[in-house]
Amino acid sequence: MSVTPSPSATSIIRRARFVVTLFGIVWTVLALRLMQLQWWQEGRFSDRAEQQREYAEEIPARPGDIVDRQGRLVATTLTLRSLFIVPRRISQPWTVANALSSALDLPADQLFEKIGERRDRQFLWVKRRLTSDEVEKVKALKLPADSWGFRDEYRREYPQGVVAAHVLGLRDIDGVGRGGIEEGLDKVLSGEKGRRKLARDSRGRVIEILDDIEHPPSPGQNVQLSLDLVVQLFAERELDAVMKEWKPESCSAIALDPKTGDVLAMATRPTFDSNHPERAAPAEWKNRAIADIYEPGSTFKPFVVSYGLDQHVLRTDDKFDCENGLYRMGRRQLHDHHRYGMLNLTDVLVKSSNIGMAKVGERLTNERLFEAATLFGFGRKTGIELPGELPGILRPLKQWTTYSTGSIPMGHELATTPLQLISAHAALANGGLLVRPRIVLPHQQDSTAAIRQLSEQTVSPDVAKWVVEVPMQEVVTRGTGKRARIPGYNVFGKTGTAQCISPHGGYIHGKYISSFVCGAPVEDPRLLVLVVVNQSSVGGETFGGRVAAPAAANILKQSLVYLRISPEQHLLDAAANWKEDPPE
Amino acid sequence: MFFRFGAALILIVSVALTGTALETQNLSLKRSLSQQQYRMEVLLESQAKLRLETQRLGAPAKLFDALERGDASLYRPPKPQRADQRRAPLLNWNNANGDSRKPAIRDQAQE
Repeated sequence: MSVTPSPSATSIIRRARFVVTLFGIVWTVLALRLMQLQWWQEGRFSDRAEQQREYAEEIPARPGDIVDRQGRLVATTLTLRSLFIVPRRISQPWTVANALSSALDLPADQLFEKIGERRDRQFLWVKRRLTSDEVEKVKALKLPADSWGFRDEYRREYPQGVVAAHVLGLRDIDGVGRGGIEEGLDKVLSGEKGRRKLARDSRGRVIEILDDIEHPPSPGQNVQLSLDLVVQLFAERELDAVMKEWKPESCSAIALDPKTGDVLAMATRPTFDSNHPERAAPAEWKNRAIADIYEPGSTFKPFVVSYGLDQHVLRTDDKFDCENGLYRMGRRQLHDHHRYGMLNLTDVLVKSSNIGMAKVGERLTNERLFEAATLFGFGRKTGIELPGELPGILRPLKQWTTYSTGSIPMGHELATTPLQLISAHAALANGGLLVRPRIVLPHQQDSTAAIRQLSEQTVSPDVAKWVVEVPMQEVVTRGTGKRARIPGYNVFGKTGTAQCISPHGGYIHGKYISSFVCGAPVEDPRLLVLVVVNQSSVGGETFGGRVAAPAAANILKQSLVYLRISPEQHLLDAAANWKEDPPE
Repeated sequence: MFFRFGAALILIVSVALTGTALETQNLSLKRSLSQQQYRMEVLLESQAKLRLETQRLGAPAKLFDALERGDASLYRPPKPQRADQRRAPLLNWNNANGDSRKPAIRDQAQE
């Protein structure tokens, strides 16, 4: 007997089926949605969740120190605190601005304006690199905890002050090297920033530092300079004296070890204090030892003579008729400062005769003069580790004319930087090897050091030795560089006086660049010094022997004693008989 | 049955307790490591500050005037506080036996 359900029971069953089906559909939809979220869109949502929860923070790397060749500290880094606020969480901007301004000596209205302009921001610097007193004052304000904070930042310190400022350069407020070694070796000094992950809550507060550091910071390497701060200081003090006495627009000095190419001093005036760069005038930034070019004048003459000797175009006993101070060379008239008759090759250099050198030029011809200039490194950068070095000017040979035959041997029609010039003179002083100057000492294990120091032979050692020991020494003993004599030492040198080149072409009348390069001892040169004085404003025609030679000699003398290069007793005795120099 | 259940429960509890103990120890080690790193950073910073200060005080530019005035001597004191060689000399001290080579500043001051 079959039981027929009653209509009410059928309705209940139908409703129940409906409810079950409905639940089934809802669950299916939910399940599908879950599958969509968990499978198909999993990556996107997990990324978004991670972005909300985690964020990566940069860990700054401590920049390396810079020391001189004796290990004296010239640049180091301290950690200081910088103050930031969170404008979004500041409910009373004026109260906060007022409190902070009194603690940090800032204008309250400006700070208030800044907060007002950035009300929706999460971050605003108030003041960077606070002193410890300022940090304590800010802490004492007891501002709402989530509205401000400190961040550690590095500050570069230069304990030697203005000394070697152009060589060092500086680091800006963001820790980027600007100028000098700080820029040239920025990658080495800066190190690599690290990164770590932090977890934060829904309000953005850090709740956990996650364990896995993505990339640990690697501190910058220390750099050892070839500079010796004492020699550097000798150079800087002499330049200060030159600035005071001759009032030039600028001047620079370099001291160099001719055998290794190590720059022991590189100074420029005017200068700036790396600790207070905001006080520097635009003209003070330029490192004139590598970024100023000028005609070398007579300091170029020894290269022409040595190349002529090396090529057997000249002989040491050659004589030249200096035409009593007036020589017509094509359409051009050449003059000497004094009326010389016959001069031997030595005297042409000792008296710095332009006519004698023009005749040397005629004998060498333009091709050889060009080779000489190229061989000694003119017209190309020396490759020192400093940014902003200029290559100088050496025009292509095809642009040279018959005029060049007379001009180039006198050091005109080409331009050089002081560093190029002293590097070329170092080649003569060390027996003919053109060594690349360096201002950074290599690490002991640095294999590139050997490659860097590869040098090229310019002239034979005998020729270089003769030029240094005979004419260049006699320039100091009886020639234009007598003011560079140093008791107890045999000094060699060469004066140079060149007219300033006008930026509009031609020369500036009455404006001279005076230079003097000297070295000692002649028998085994240990140190070369170059002083270049740009446009002295007092003293009329400012010869290199008058303006630059005394300063160069003072630097050389003090440095020789400091470097423990003993004076010769018989030379000390002979120096007692020296007479005062006659006026030039 | 009861014994097996009890044994399983004890095993689970002991594994959990061991895990907790290890985690606690791990956190404690992490904390001490972090403290040591912090102390090292503080000490390094302090060393950097002190080194900077000593280098500032001993900068050649600062000592030159005193040496030239004769307020400071270039010669090694008879009883130096530290007998070892200075690593970063302003000028190398003459040795105790006397050295005939003249120091730079003295030479300049005599002129």
